[in-house]
Amino acid sequence: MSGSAELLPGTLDLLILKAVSLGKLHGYGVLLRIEQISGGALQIQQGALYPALHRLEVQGLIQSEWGVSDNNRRAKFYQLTATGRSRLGDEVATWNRLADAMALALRTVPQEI
Amino acid sequence: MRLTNALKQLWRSVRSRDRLESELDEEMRLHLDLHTERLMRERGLDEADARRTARAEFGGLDNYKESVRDVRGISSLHGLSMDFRLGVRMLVKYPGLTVAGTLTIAVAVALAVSWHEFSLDIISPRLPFDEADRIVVLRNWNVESNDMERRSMREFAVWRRELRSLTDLVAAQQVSYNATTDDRRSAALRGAQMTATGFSVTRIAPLLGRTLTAEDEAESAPLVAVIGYGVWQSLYDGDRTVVGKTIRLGASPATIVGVMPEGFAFPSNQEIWTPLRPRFAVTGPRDGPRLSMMARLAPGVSIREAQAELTAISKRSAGTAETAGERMEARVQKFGTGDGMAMMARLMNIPFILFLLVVCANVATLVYARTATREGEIAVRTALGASRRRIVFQLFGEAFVLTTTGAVVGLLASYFLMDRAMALFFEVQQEPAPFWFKSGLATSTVVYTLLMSLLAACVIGGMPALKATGRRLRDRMAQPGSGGASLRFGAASTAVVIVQVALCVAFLPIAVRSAQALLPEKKTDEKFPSDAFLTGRLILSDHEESEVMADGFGARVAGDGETPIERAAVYGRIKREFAAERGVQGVAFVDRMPGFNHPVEVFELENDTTFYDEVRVVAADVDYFNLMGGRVTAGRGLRSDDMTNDRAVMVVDRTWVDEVMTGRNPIGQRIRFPEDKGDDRWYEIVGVVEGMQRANGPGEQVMMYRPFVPGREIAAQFYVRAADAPEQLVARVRDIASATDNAAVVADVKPLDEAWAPVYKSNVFFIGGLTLVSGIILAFALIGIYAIMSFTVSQRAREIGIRVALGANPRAIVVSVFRRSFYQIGGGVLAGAAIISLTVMKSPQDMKLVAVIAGLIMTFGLLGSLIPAGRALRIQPTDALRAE
Repeated sequence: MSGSAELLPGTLDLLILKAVSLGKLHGYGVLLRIEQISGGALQIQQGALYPALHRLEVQGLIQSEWGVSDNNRRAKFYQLTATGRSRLGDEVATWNRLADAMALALRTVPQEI
Repeated sequence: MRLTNALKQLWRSVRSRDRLESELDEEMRLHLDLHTERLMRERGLDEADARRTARAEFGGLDNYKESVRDVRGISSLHGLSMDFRLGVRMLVKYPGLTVAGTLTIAVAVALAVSWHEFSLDIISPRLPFDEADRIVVLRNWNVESNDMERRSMREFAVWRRELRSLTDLVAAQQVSYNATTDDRRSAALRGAQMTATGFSVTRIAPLLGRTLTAEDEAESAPLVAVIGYGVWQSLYDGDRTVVGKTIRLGASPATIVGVMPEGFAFPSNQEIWTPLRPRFAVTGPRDGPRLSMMARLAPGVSIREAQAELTAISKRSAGTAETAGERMEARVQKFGTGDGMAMMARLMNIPFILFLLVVCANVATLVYARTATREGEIAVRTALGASRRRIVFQLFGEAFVLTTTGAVVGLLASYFLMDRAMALFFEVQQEPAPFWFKSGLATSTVVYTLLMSLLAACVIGGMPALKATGRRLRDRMAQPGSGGASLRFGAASTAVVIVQVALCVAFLPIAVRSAQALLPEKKTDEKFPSDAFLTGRLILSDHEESEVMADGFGARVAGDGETPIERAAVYGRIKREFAAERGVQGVAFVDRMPGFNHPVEVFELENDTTFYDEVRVVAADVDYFNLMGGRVTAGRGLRSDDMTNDRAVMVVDRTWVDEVMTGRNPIGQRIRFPEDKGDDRWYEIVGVVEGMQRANGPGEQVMMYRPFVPGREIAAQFYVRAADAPEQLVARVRDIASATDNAAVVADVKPLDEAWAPVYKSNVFFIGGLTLVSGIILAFALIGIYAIMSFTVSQRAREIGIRVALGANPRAIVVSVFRRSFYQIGGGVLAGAAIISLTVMKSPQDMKLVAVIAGLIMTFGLLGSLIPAGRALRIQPTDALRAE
């Protein structure tokens, strides 16, 4: 998986919120969805996903229910709550501002100073 | 919002910890399975490799599970539950320690819980009424004498008229009635003359008929009575047409207007109620009947607001009251006892908690010894990453399981024995329990038990845990491989042994002495013929007063000086009638049954006013000594003219003379009772009597006898000696009394044996209990000392073996072990003996007891050290060296 990057601290929660905002997912599904939407560029320590999922659930940002997976296994599915959706919006806006600022800063050449 | 959410989650976690655990397992298992399948599919790995790789890419499974538990707030619970499981395992693994520890903690907890429960009934009774917490007591407090003034009819009138923050103001006076039904059944009843509000304040409806009304309080109203359930059953066999029937109360016929339901005995333990007819207009201050006053807080009013209003009203009316020189303070308080008693009852919890701590210290030394043998296990756990906190929690958890087991046993024991103890207590008091004394445990008692269990666990688990996980543990981890436990008491060893021994030597003699103090001290070489006597209480004037009251207080004030004289005449007549009865050999009167809940009085000697001591005094009539087989051995006995002239003379018991007079002639000496405000006379000792202790029965010792002045008291105890079976005289005695005087009430009349029985029973119960408690504690202390000495010497077993292997003289080794133990135990014995002899136990007998207990402890301690030393000497030197 060349070209993959380590996650920045604090970004796993944001990625999970984004992943489950696209549809109900079980834990492993969240991992696959993040790989998919990041084009396989982001490396996630798989086990770390679960404390994060449970933390977000305790915070009321996602909720879970037990259902049946594609291959007929019992699985715990997570989905975004209204609070989670609003938090995702805020976080995305903050991230975009940060990313824009970083991009702007990093694009700067001596002549522009 | 977030906090609520988190709390909700935590609560769910607590409730469904097991479910969460299994769901977490399932969730992670699915993840690993799906990833394994993917690896097989995408990388072509076989299943075993794929699974291994999946596990590796997942990361530390247990760590992540622990992180999830942290998030869910069940991490500590998970640990705790494991600690408790370990704790239960430890209980099973060390049955000796479990039984001994549980038993001693149970004893200490049972004592503490019983007192707590009893004090709750005293301090804050749980009344079985609607909104019972709004029922209050009003007290008219004399600030000068720091005492409650019950003669407060005048204040009651003012308060009833003016108070707005209180409703249903009740005044009640306790009375005794000799009640007779139309079909000549009779009984002595505890009654209350009570305002009609006494019923409305409780909000309890009558079972039949009605309660008292305000109209019944009018002077001209016919006398009515409300009877209790017990009276309805015993005198009327539960007859539902009882309302409207007549019951004679002394000489006065009263119409029964209602029956109260079972359990109703307001304000304390009453069984019949008649109206209180206060004549406020003619009642002066400190006059009228002795009242209890209660009320209900008006809706929305706090006790503080009621107090403020009461204070304001009292100040306003103080100017008009003729109470010169008296400073009165009106108080509104929760139903229950006054502040002073409540504080005393609360403070009494402290000795019980201290006792628990002493017991815990004993158990802690044993647990310490056990912990030392587990040092290897603790070291391994520490090496595997368990924090010190974690291990301390584990040891605490184990101790908590032990203490909780003990506490639950103690709580159950208290629950089952409390009723019996209470029943005996009130039987000895010759008074039924107040209606709010109920069996069962209050929630606060259960919480209190849990707190004691926690406290005990802190002592028992905390101390060994901190020591076992301290610096020495790290040293041990640095030097693995040596056999046996290396945890030593070190310098603490000596301190622990000394403190342990000192506590035992100081505490146990007190416990034994307390048990002995309750034993009957009477010499029983000559048995008292108590089966030939009948005793009972003659109550004369209560009904007279109620009649006088019905006639108005004016009449009572005018006849005030006559009433005692009238009473004296009645006593005389009744005594003569009793004595003239066939089968009666003699009759005597005393003011109270000697030794039953008998108050002690402080006295001083005229020729040594610095000497203060306490004594129990009985007022006896001229026939008492003769009738009961007493012999006047010096001076004279009590004479008729002592009674009629109310002379300040005293006859004292020989035992008292021997103890207090120490060789001086008591005759002619004078004593006084400085705390008796109504009687500051000097009493001259005119005689010495012997043989009365056995006649006074099994209660507390009575040492002085003064003249019984007939008529001064409204009630007296009588003794009748029968030629034949005294129980045959019971009915006759009642009949004679009421035939002689309509108003006379004879109560609690029974054979003397029967009257003494509760004291014998309570002695057996309490002494048996105390002996058992002392025995258990002594036994456990001895086991503790043995164990701790045995443990410290056992730890030196290898050292002793090696020394022998290197050629040391076994005898010298034994001597050295013995010497060290001797110094340690001897130090403790000296410390304990010094504490106790300098404080409470000073007599030669006391010191003998201390010496016996110290000797026992010394013997067990030295055995505890010598037996393992002997065992160590038998170790083969090669074995000892190989172990190194």
